[in-house]
Amino acid sequence: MTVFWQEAACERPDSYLDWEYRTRKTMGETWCSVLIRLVPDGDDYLPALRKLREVVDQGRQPEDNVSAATISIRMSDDERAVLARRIGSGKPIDDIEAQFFIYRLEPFIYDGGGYRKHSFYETIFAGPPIVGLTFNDRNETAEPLTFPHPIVTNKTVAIGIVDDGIAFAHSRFRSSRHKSRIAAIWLQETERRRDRDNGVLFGQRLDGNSIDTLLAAHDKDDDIYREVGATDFGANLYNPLASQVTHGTHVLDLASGGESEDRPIFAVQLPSAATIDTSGVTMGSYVLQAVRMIMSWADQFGIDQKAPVPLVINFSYGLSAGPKDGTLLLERTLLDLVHHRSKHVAPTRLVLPAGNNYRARLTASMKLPSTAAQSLDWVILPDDKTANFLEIWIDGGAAPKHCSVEIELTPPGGLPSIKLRPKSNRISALTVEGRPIAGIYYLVTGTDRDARERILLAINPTARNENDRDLAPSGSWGISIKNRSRRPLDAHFYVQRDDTPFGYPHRGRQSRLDHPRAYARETQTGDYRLHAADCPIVYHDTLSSIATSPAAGPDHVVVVGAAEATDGYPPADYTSSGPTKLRAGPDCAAIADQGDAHWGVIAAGTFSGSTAIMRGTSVAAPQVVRQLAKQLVTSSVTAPQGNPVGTADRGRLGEVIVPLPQTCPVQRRYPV
Amino acid sequence: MAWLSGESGESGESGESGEALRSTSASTARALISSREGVVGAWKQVDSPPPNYATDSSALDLWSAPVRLKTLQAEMLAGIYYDDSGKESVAVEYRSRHDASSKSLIHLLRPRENDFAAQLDYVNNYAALRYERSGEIVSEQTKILAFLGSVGFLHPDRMRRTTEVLKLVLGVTGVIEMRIKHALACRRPVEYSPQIQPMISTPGHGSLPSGHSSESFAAAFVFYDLITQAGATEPSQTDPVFVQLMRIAERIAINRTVAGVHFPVDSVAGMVLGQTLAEFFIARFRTANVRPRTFDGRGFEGDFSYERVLKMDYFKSKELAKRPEPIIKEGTAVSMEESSLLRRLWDEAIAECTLMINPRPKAAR
Repeated sequence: MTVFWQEAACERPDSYLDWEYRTRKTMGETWCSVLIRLVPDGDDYLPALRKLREVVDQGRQPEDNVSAATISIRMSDDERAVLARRIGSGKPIDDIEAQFFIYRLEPFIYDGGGYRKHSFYETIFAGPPIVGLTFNDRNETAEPLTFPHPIVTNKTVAIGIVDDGIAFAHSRFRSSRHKSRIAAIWLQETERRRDRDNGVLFGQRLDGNSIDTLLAAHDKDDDIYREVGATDFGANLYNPLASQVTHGTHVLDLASGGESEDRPIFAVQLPSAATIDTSGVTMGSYVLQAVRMIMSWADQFGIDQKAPVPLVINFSYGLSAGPKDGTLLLERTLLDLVHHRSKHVAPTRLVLPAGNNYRARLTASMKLPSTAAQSLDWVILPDDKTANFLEIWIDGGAAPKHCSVEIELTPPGGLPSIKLRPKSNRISALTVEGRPIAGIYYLVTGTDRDARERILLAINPTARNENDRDLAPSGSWGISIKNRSRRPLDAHFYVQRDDTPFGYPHRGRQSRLDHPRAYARETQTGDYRLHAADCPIVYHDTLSSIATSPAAGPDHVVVVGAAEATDGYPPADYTSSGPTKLRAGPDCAAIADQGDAHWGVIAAGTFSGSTAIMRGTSVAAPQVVRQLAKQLVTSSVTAPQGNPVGTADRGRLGEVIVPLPQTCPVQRRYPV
Repeated sequence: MAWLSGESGESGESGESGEALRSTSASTARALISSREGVVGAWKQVDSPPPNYATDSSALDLWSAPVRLKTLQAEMLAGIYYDDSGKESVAVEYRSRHDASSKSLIHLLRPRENDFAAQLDYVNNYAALRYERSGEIVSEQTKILAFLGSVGFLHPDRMRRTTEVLKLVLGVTGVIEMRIKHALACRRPVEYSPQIQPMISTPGHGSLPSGHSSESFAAAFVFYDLITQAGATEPSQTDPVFVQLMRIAERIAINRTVAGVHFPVDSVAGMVLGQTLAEFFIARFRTANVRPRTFDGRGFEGDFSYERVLKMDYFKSKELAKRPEPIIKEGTAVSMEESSLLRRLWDEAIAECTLMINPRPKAAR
């Protein structure tokens, strides 16, 4: 077996996508989502807007040089409606409004290792090819969702949710037996059976009227999901709405179950393909589209009454690796959208969970004086069907010409190691018979004193997987970092999230860091997994990497940790901790466990009338959504309210603990 | 009436009396026959017989534990009468051999069909806790003292007499409650809706009052009296020991609703019965006052909470009574006399409890 390290030029500006591209086998039609920003003519965006509409209507850009039968650019009808409104309004637009989400066939996005240049737009980022979904045809004329005459009062606050497994027929999301509060839902994975919903590239949208018709026609929730195709054991690989417990349903019940029609719901159900690939590489673009879709709906809702609704969006998801300084593109873009809508349309909030990684050993921190070296291990598990990623962020290098550190990576099983100072736009890959199984990437972000360096390590799955990627060996991969600069450096290690999401058959397994000094005795649990003081693996800096924007400033994004309802309301064992560069910790916390023997909180199970218990910062976030929505009824200023948190716990619980809403009519226990 | 030897938890489920456990096997009997023949030798007349036993309460010490229990049960059940001429109600009365007439203990009137039907929502909602409480519910089918006793050091060998007192209370409550259940003949939740589908089998007796509630509260109140009497402290509803005993009994009762075999109103009636019977038993143990009570279930609405029962804070639904009419009423306390047999057991239990309890500060008045 010929195994050796090989260097090559990157084919993608995003290293995660480069690895995906480099290690994939065959793929069908490769549509990718792309976030673009139009290029103005001086101050005037109108020519670029018009040009965009033209190419979307035609289905191709002239420079693509494809035949008339080929479609190479698409846009969802709801986004096309936004485009049309911006052209029609005649008002000047700002650079957030100049951003649009399009889909392009993969070959047309890239040129060499960078994004292809166009005259009227630049590419902000592109997602990986959309896997496993069937594409709808396109509508010649856009058919966006409209909301004729909804009753919007000054008490109406809309709830947005992006999640997996949202039981949209559930009685907790209705205002009466046959009237749903869900104003619109995009099932990103479920193709419509009969007439396709060509208003979206994949999946289908249902508006409130369609759901009401289904509620009137069927007594059983399950029949509705079967009619719509969401549950179909013949056609679907995954049928989340057939399980007892679904993440999105539980979360939505906490956020807005049992409310009146003053809380319309806009929902987007992520496809299994995205939820399964928890590294977030796939997730990012689905989520961004979902949030844009929710906002375009919310902007249209109640437009007759000229009352754009306030909106609180729950996104109970997190990643664990990233710059953690507010610059991650997904995080930055989400925040821009939320700030923009809040400033120009109506109060808007985004609520995110803080993360469940406190004890997961995903974070390490090293201080390296010049010429010093330190090492640790990265444990890759066997039977892991998805790739593993580790980001090493280096601060203090100050606009380096070369990578400030030398990294040595030693695979298990006697495979060759490598020692190098990686270069930008290059990948060093460990290849087996010429096919890569592990890779090292490098880039520099920021300038001068704000410069940060990132090394990305990628390791392939360790078990036979659907995408037929070549296997890497499982076990401890040794990583050693040596400071080759003259300045002292800080190195932060973040392992990317890679576990199997709730309710799915085992696929990814979470890798973690390891070190001989990570086995001191932990007085709280009595076990031997405490990180000693000189161990680089740390409990702090474990916040979700999409929840790291500054806490000061407009409170449009709220990060929520998990508390346990026992004496003293301690942090839940798993709830992630700050500080990150811009944040001491989450903004607040909510109850995610009601006792050591009463873990989790009770809320709706998948089917009407059922209940389920779930825990995690995922169930803390929606409780804050509920509270903020109530505040937005009477004020445009919101702040989480609850019992104050002691100074010692603020890094994990924020300022206050929000009280548990009464979504379950029975008491599990006497409260403390 | 036979009951599970040891504890009476699942009321009325019959078992063997404890004697069966000590019966001699056929092979041992054969061995005793042949061994006797081998050693007995010639028969000798008995010329100095031992004196007969004193027939006072000290004779109790001669008997085996199951026999003591049956003996004391007979003593405790003596003088209790049931008046169910009211057709949908029953009155429990006590008349000692010296009394000219009966004294009322408790009067229960059963809820209407609609009242029970309205309670079904609670049974359905509480089902959310079934999975989580299944360990407790399965245990509590037969074991109640383990839960109440965990508040103190109620080890069956270390606190033999105290355990006897409590088992007696459970057993006698069980008998009385069956007679009441028969008189009221209330349907179980499973008979109202095919969607209840209880997680354990519904027992073969009426729904109201709840046996688990009656027994748990009877034992809880008697245990608390033992503790305060032994420690010479003032009983108080804010005493943490009292609070925990009440909460445990309450949870045992609510778990029956979680399981799908009782309505909350059954637990309310059960607690009123348990509290009244506890006062009655205590009077029979040590001469004390008993407050007769009425539970009128017609128009009952709401969920069960022990604090509301203590405060008698349940009122009939507005469609039945324009002015608030209470569901639970208490009459004037009446003194009832102890039985010397029961008194003996009580004193022995008090002596044990005095050892068990650490000196505690006087409870606040």
